Amino acid sequence: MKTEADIIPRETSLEPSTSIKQSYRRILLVFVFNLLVSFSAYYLSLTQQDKISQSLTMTANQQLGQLVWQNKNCYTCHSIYGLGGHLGPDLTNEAGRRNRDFIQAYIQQGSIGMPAQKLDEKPLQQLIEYLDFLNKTGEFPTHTFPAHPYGYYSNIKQIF
Amino acid sequence: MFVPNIFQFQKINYLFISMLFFCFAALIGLFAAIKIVHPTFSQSIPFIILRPLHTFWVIVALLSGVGGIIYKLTLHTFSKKEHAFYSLNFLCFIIWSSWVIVTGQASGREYFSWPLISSVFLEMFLIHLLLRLFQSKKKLYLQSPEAFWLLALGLLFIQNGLIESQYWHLHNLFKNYVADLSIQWHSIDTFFAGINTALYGGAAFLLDTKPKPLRKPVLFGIAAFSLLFTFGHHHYISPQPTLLKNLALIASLLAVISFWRHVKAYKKINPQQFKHDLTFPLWRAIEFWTLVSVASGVLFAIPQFNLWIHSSYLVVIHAMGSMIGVNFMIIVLANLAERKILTSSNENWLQNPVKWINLSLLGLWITLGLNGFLKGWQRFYISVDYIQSFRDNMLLLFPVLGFFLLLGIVRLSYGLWKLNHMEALSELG
Repeated sequence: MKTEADIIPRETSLEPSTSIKQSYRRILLVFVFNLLVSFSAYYLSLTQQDKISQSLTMTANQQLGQLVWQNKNCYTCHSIYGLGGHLGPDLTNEAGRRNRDFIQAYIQQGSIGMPAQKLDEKPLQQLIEYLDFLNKTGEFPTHTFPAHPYGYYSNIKQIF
Repeated sequence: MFVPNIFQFQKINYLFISMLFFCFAALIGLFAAIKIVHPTFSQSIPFIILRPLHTFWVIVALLSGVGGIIYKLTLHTFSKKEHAFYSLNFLCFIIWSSWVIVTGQASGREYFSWPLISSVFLEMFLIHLLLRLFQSKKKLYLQSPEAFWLLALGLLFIQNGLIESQYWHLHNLFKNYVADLSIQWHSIDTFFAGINTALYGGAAFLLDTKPKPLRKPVLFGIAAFSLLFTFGHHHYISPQPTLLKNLALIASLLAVISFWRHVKAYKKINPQQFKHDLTFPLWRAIEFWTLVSVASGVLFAIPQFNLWIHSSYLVVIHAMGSMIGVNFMIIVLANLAERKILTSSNENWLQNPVKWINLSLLGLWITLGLNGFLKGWQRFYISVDYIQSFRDNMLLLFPVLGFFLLLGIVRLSYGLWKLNHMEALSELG
């Protein structure tokens, strides 16, 4: 067993005023604030759809489509709003670029870079509904410059 | 019949496990790089297995590194049974998650590719580390107050990020896509910020020769603000709340202060001072890659630039620089701390691999950076075939550089293993 003396010896000449309580306060402060930030991020995100007058809430089918996306590990190659892999294209607005039949055929039959998924009819439709929903939530990547992703640049652009 | 003694798990060398998993992760990363340039390569190992396995094993390596450093610093006050219990939890986390990923049943969430039950195993291990840390709090605090709060906060952040990453199982609370995206990004940032903070704190314990007092309240305030709000820069181009984006911009730009402090630290390194210290190349590499990571973080947080490079390989190299360039080197240094056998006769095994790793990382930075920059160019201005083909050809360098990175990591790990072996022999005889 190690004893206190076995821990790497070093100088321990600190100012007498230094107290471990200060350290605890810092740990607690940052930790609690992090929980608050997380809660605020969640709460503010829920109120976002009122500001952009567009539904950001998924229907049961769209949510099941999201689970198909996860079960098939689509994120390894594709991203949504930049979150995911870069091997394939970002699929945020794929439903807006291609028609439903094309997407359906592509998912089922694949290509050189993408394996055929061969999904059953129900999960396939749920996945397509999910992609359809994503397309309505916003635009990615924004091609115009400066971009206006829901008012962000309208506040910030004066700085630059 | 061979009956394994579970109590042997108390002797588990987490730093060694860390090096081993860095090697595994680099190997899988090399496979993935080949797959990127040659999609038909090895059809039996699809990319949906390679990528999560690569990121998972990097996470295992980093967490083992954190565990190893805490084991090295703290008192042994746990019973054998307790040790065995917590170590088994960590091993279950590694084995069960790897199995799930290899069989193609990963969770489908970025970075947190393991199932819910594995998070419980990991949580048990993290609680154990935290208990260990607080059992030795007085001694550690006197050694370095600044390092102590960083290490403790890092551990708490890792747990916080881990728990947040599993919220999505509560389907009813996450019907709103943007809320899900916000929490997902926040959990990723909290988890990795925790790992970085814990390793940085650990490095300060192992490497600083004098106690590091707590930083002044103003500097603490700035650092805490940056730590809490930079996650929002991932949201610039998604429909996230404006307030988070604005706070992220301020927090990220305040990181310039951190950059300036690192520039000063880098300038202070005097090669003469380290002439006979074999760890000098590691020190220099840590300081250099910290500089690069902070600078790139600040640059990517500038909205105009972020729009340009978001969802490109430029973002990958920012993570790669901090994960391998900084965290890996810290874990190697932790391995070397308190070594009895460290003479000039074993100089080359340490210095050459560090050179290889640095050069490969630099090569990856340039290749992937240029690729990401051109992707942004195509996005905003013009997308012509020759730019696309130039970008595709550029990626051919990816596996080559990945191979040298793997060689560097394996050689360094092998050297450390040999050093362990030599030390064990010298203790015996």
